[in-house]
Amino acid sequence: MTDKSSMLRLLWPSGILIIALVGLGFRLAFLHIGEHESTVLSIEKRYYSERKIIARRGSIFDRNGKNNILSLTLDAKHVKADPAVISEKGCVHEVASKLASELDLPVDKLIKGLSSKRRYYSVKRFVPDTKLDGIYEAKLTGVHFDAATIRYYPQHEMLCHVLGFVNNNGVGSSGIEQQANRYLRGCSGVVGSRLNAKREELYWAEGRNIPAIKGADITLTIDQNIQFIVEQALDDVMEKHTPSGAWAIVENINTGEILAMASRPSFDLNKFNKSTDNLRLNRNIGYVYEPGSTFKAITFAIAFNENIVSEDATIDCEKGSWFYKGRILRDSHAYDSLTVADGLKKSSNILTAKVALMIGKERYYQYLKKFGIGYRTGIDLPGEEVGILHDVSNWSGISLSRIAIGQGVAATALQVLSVYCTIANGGYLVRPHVVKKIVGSNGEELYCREPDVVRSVITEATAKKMRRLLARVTEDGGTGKKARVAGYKVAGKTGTAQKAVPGGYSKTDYIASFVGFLPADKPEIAIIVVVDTPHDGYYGGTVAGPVFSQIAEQSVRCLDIMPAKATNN
Amino acid sequence: MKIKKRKNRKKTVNGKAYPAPFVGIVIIVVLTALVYSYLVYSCQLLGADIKVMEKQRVTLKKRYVNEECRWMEEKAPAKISAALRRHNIVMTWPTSRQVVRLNVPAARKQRIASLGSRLTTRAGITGTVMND
Repeated sequence: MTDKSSMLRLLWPSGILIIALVGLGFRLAFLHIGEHESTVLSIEKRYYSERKIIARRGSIFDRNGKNNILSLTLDAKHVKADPAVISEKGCVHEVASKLASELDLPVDKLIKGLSSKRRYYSVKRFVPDTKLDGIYEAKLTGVHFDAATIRYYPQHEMLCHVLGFVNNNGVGSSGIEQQANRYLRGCSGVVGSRLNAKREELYWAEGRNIPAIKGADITLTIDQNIQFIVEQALDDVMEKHTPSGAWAIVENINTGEILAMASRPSFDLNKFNKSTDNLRLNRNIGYVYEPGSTFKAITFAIAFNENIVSEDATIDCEKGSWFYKGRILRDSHAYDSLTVADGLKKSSNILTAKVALMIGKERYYQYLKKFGIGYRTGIDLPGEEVGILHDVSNWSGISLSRIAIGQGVAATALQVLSVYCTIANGGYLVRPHVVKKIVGSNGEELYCREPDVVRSVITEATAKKMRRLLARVTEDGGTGKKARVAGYKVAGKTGTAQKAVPGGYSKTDYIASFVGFLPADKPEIAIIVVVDTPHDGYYGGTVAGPVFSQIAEQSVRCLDIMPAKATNN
Repeated sequence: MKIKKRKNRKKTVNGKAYPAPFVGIVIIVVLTALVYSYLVYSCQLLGADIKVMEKQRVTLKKRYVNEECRWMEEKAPAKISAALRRHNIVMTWPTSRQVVRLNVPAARKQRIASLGSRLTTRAGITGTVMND
């Protein structure tokens, strides 16, 4: 062996060693100087686990608070399966039959789904924890669960249009759930912890810990018992008169608190995805109709407020048929002449139209706006309609005579009820509302609703006179006898409006309504009942009147409203 | 004559003794390590206990919510009404003639209240008495 070859043998390994060391040195320098931060982060990430804590959505209560929960959040699971594992173990039929019986699913479909070679199959989503005990016990192979929450409504159909529902992404999509979503949803939290090499949690090591903040709880102005009374009354009328719809509201006339609001047809909130738009429509605020004779109260209130007529003034009723500006206006019963007070009691179209003409269209229009016709009431519910009130400049020669009797103008039931609340409380337009207060998860009161007076519309004296005259409507000879409540004096007005159809008015379809308040002398609650296209009778007095009576009779006892000393019954 | 004392070879210490401070430090270090290990172990146990209890708390909370929901469902007006119908129980509201209302003036109410409190004090009753 020469010196040269031994030298080479020494140089080669030394060279390789030096190159390796230089490489390592570069790597070391690169790790410390170059991507130092990201490297540390990736190592940290490996030994750090973080999980999201879903915030529980706030609950909704009726006006009595936590005793009556109307909406709450329950824990649920998404049930999923690994068909590959199940097929491999040969227990497809066993797993499918157990899942089918526990989750109420068709076995055939499950067998088909679980027989594939896929690694994922969604069995059922949003299954309440309470329904999973059987599956937990069975310890089925290849069946897994993902945590989720569901919104549950213990009363099912009751108050469905007011409460609304939460979609599968946890976002409120109608009613209060939508309106107060930002309060109800809460804020998700995070729990982080360090792990050892075995992926076990190190309790002593610091981790990010942001607790979830539960959503705020909402207390409504709704009274669960009155709501039930209203819904039962509507169900009865739906059965008796088979209308295409019926809706009603009960409101506190002084505060604007909605005590009950129901609409038919309705739907089960726990199965909201099986309902249609027609079922979901809250007709109290989302359906405009021509109010018919219930609108006459506005005409008389304006006339008295402006001292245009007195209640004793006699007006020619043209024997039931009045030819005005090329069109005929008829009364349902023919009268030679009536006093203004009797015109309201007997709901004379001709007398009312003549009174409106005395007021004048400009002044009449200004009053309509003051009563809130053509404007949203501002209730804290989504989807409120404005109604239809054309600008006075677009009114034709006969518009005033028709609007005065509730034709050529459209309003929601809530707008009409607001007018009667104004008359009942002494002339003040009060904004209706359904949310009483919102309390955060820490007990802090985030929102408390106070009565909101929008404006004064008529004087106290006019309101008092109107209350007295409207009370005559339910007396003998009036159109609203069937709305009476034993022991209480009821003031109100019937409405029987032909439904507007393209080119005119329907000869067969009517909207029957009754709106009123009680006790007439010292009113506390106002109620409106609207029945759309009833069969077997169509007059407001005969179809909606008894429903009003049924609701009012039980509501006054629920609310402990004292009967009047002197009654008309 | 001077007797030469013989050196006891058996008592001779072979090797060098560690200095006392060094031994002290070693003992302290060992003790600290033992205490540290004990504390770590205790913390691990406590942490595990806390986790178990947290899980228990969550389970109980879920159970409470589920029970509350079930109770709300049971006492829903519709359900009560259906139960009454099922058992042929007809319940009606009392008519205004069947309700007896007692109006007590405010001054008299106060007098009754003070009389009541005096009577209860005399009878030696300290708590609230409710005629339920």
